[in-house]
Amino acid sequence: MKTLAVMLKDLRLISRDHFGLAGLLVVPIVVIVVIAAATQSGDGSKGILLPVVNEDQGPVATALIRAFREHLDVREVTRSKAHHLVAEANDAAAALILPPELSKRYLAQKPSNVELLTDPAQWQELEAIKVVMLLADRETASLGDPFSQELLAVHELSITGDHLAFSSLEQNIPGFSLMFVLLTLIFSVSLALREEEVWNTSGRLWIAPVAPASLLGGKLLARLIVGTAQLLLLLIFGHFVYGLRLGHSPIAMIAVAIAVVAAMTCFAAVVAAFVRTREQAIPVGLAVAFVLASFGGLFWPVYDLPRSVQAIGKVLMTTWSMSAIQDVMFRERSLTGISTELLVLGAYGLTSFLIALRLFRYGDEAHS
Amino acid sequence: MMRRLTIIMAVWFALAGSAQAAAPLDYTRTILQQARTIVAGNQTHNEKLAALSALFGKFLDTDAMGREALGEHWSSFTSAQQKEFLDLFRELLQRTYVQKLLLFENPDFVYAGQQLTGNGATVDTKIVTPRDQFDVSYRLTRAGDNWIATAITVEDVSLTSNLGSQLSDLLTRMSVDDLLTLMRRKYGNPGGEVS
Repeated sequence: MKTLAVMLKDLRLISRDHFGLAGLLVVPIVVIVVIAAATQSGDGSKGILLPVVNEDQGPVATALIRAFREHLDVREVTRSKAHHLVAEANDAAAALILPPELSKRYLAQKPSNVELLTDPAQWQELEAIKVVMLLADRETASLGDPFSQELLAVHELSITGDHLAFSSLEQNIPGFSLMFVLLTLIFSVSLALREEEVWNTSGRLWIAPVAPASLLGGKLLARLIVGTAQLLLLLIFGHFVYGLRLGHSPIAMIAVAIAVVAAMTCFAAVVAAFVRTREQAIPVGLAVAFVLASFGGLFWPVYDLPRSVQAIGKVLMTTWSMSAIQDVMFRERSLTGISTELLVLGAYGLTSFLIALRLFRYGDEAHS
Repeated sequence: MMRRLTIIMAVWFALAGSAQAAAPLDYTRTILQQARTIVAGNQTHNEKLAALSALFGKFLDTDAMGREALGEHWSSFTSAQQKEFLDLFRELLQRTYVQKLLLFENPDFVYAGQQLTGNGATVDTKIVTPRDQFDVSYRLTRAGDNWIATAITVEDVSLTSNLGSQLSDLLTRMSVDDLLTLMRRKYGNPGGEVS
């Protein structure tokens, strides 16, 4: 009987938190719908960009491009633009250079070298491109190559690093490490701040002679240090256990880890400002973490998502975080090579911190 | 008197015959213009392939080209193998040539000239694209009132010689039966798609 009374009392308490109750169902449904839409309506290989430098402009190059267009998002560009898309913007995993005289040589049954400039860090897109190239080569070879001579020899050239081979671990280890750091930060920041309210620590801190920015900043700084250590240790674990490459510059890796975790910590403070109870923190935290992870390419490569989702992904902190880590690890970039990502993540962190400072009702109870 | 009349009649028929036969360049132009109409048409790729194969079936002397391509290997084939080889080679050559022609979306032919040599002729043509031009020459032999192509040269490379060197290379690595099996697998379905 007493158990029943306790249960009824707790149910009454739970039922007072309407946002928390709604969050139990609404938030997971929203996440399921969003992720299902993102993963089921993907464009497949059609979403993969393949810049083509058509220096031939002849019938064979045209036939090849037509065959590629059946499977890929082919864009005819100049050589410098192709280099930019692969090596600098990392929008494309590879660019194909169709040399001058390709058609003449092909029609005269003379072999030609076709150059494929690659970014092996985008190895999954690259694999898909190579499969499509094989198909297109077979289709085109059947047009004028009766005994399947190798009239088109593809010369692969990595323009972003020394390594040509990658595995799914290179996607999964950094991706899941980032996802867990984000999840941990959202939960730890929001739950810790709520618990301080419950214990009335917030009230006591509010009347202390410390500016709100210093107060919030100090708390987030502690999380930043823990989160950075967590991320670096997870990557080091991946390095020693699974042979994950960490790049050539430890300073760049540490800088990226700090910038990524700083952006995530400040973002976690914004999330914390919206949740009012522990019950709300869990579904909201999970929803935010899963949506950011799936849209930002932490679970699967970005090209597998519909273009609209890819466009959203371009402005997400997780996309920039993954890109910065891949730049250091696989493209072996130095500190200057990742300056854009560091600036964007820094701006993300600062903006989030200012929003959190504005929204956060820290010490509301002491005030009232 | 009768003897003189017979000679006059023979000369008249010969002249009449030669007057009826089109010039090699004109005949080639007629064939290529028909090919151009097919290539530029709205048919599917396979329908164009079939139409062009039918057109070039009467223009290309694939038996002569096949024998030339095999060269010294010809004698090592039995008569049954020779017959099957020529059947498959006809399909191979037509498809190789026709598929190359189909690479051009809207081929523009230019006729550079003709050189008459005894009973034969060489017609030089160009396929002109907005950026480039491709030299294609036809060696023709008179066949009744018409002409028949016994060799095609694309960008100074003979199609027959090229196929001949590939066949020769294959025959150093495989038997005649294996070669015929390979050709049967790729070209044993006349009118079908190239595998």
